[in-house]
Amino acid sequence: MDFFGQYYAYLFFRLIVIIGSLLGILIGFLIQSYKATIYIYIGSIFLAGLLCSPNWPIWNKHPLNFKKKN
Amino acid sequence: MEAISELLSKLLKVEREDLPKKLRTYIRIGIAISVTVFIWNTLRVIMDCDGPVVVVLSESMEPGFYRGDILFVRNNKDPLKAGEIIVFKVKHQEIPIVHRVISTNIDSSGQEYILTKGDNNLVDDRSLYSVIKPQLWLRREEIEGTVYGYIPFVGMFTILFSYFIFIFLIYFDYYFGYFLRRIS
Amino acid sequence: MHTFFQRIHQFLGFLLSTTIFIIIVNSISGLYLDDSEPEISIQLNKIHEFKNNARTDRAVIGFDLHADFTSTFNWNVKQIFVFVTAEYQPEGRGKSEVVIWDHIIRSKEEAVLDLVDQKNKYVLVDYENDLRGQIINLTVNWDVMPLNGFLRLKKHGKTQFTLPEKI
Repeated sequence: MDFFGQYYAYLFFRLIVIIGSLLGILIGFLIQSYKATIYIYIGSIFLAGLLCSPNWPIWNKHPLNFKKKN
Repeated sequence: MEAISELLSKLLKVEREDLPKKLRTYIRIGIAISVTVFIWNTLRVIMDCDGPVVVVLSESMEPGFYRGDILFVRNNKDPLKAGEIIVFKVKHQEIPIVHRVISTNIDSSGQEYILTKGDNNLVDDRSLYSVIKPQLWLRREEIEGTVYGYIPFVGMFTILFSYFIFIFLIYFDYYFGYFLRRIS
Repeated sequence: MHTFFQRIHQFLGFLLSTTIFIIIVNSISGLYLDDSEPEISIQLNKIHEFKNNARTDRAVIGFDLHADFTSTFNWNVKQIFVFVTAEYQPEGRGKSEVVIWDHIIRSKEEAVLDLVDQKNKYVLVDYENDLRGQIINLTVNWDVMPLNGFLRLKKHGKTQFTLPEKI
């Protein structure tokens, strides 16, 4: 990843996990089932992990231009 | 002051100019350890108990408490009621036992006699009480506290550490070196 | 932070804080969702046996219990441990309590108890010899064991009977 891609990857991971946990808490509280909370939370973790951990090309949109060797 | 800093720099094998940085490192480590000890002892004072946080080690309270769950323990002066979950230690063993009170009796002098049983066991704990001489009832002094809070399977890490302490020491050494380099 | 493992390590640190937040929300909500009174009625059916085996008085009784715990289940409850105690206070002594029957309810589907002439699981015996002619209160207690958070011990439902004077 490059620097911008890294920043966005961290941002997206935190965003997806926070949204997933809040959604899980809300839905779990409405249905009164803790299983729902845990499933939604772990689902959001896997989604965010799949999107943000490996070195996808979308995280490489701002490559560093090193000077070519003379 | 000059003599003390000379002595310290010779002891720690650093130059005079690097001494403040090195001392700052050691003081930060000391603060971290002291704060941890302070918080643990404050908890011991507030809960009036030797082990305010314990990990469940046996399967005798299933399906309520599994191995590796964390329990919060406290002590108060009221007499115990039947059905409370208590933590006690049999005299020669280090392992705290977490079981439920199924019988309490108070005799004429106010001394309490307690009988416990694990939820998953078929018989009560009488056979556990007799260590040196036969003992039919548990007394209030042998009880560490009553359980009031619970968190599931977070304590599994402490159990795993005791099994895989070698791997834990390697991991710990890597992180400790990294931590020292960061704060120095 | 460039390598894959460094990223995973950062993510795990963040996940710890989020998990702690969910646990705290669950435990605190469990305290406030907890003001339901289930319908419970218990009474003595009959005294099956009351004898002395040359050391202590022992009693085997049968009781009727009708209870509906469905309103106690919320998202914080893992199981409910229901137990019936016999409480009595002989002269010159403090109060004594003996648990004579218990049962674990694990879900809302099994939360209705309808027992007739249920014999006690654990023997009703005194630590000295004072059960004759004793007035005994049978109470229904239950311990709500949470998924995260604080354990709550409650009681409701009472009945009283007297054991016979002679064995």
